[in-house]
Amino acid sequence: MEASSEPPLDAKSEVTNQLVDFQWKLGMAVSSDTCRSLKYPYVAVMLKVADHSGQVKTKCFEMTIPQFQPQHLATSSLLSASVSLTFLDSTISTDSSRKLLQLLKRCEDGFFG
Amino acid sequence: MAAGELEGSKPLNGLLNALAQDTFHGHPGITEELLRSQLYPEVPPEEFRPFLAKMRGILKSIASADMDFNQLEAFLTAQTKKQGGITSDQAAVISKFWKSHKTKIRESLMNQSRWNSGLRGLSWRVDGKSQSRHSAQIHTPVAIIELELGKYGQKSEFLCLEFDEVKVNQILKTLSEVEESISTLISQPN
Repeated sequence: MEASSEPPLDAKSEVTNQLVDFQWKLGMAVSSDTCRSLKYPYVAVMLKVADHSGQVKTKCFEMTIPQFQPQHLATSSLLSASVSLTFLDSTISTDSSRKLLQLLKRCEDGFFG
Repeated sequence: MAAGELEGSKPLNGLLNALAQDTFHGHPGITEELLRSQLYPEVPPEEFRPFLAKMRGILKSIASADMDFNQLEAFLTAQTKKQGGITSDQAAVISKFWKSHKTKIRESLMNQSRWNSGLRGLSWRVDGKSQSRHSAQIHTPVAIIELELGKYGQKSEFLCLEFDEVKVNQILKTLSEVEESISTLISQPN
């Protein structure tokens, strides 16, 4: 494999997929056999992803409520990626600049919590 | 000598720690004999066994009910009054232990009851994707997002997704919808 000048992502997953669908539901775990008093909210996510051949897979997972706070990895990473994408745009239009400023303001205001 | 009479708080605190590791945090290899020999070496096995069972049962009850401090006091007081219950010294040690370990134990219980994969991590990089030099469109930025997913006690699996700017913003919009739902749920009286 030829050397890449880009910093490699962990070679754990080499196939990138396209996101086809993103469904979510907010649930509350109330009780279980090991814990009568659970009472924690969670977000169940179902992703439909398509690989290069077009084959669609479903991935389900759960997120905790703290993962939606801006300091947390999940949301702050996505926000950072979004900001980076806009910067990389070779022609930053007025529209893009406005969007970018809005995003940055949202970070400051702690829009996500 | 009965296990209950041996009290200095150190062995019981050690015992509770080990029980928590075994029962809640899934730490392997914590056997009855290991605990007895390390913490209560002078207590014969046939006496240690019921003592260990009693302590494990008490810890499980407290964790299962996610007791607040009032409930805890009431529960432990009742245990001291029971036949074959605990001493008030032991009650004090258990109370102190629960107060400092409650959050961690609760988190473990939550993780254990999640049977789906959880989101363990998220990393990203942005590529400036170049098209062929003959194509008019060059330098399309693309975000590659890697989700680390995993079930309790199992290895992580990784899911790699490619997004353009439009898609990332769509995801962010969806996340803010989720955030709104969460706020609504939390602000509703139970």
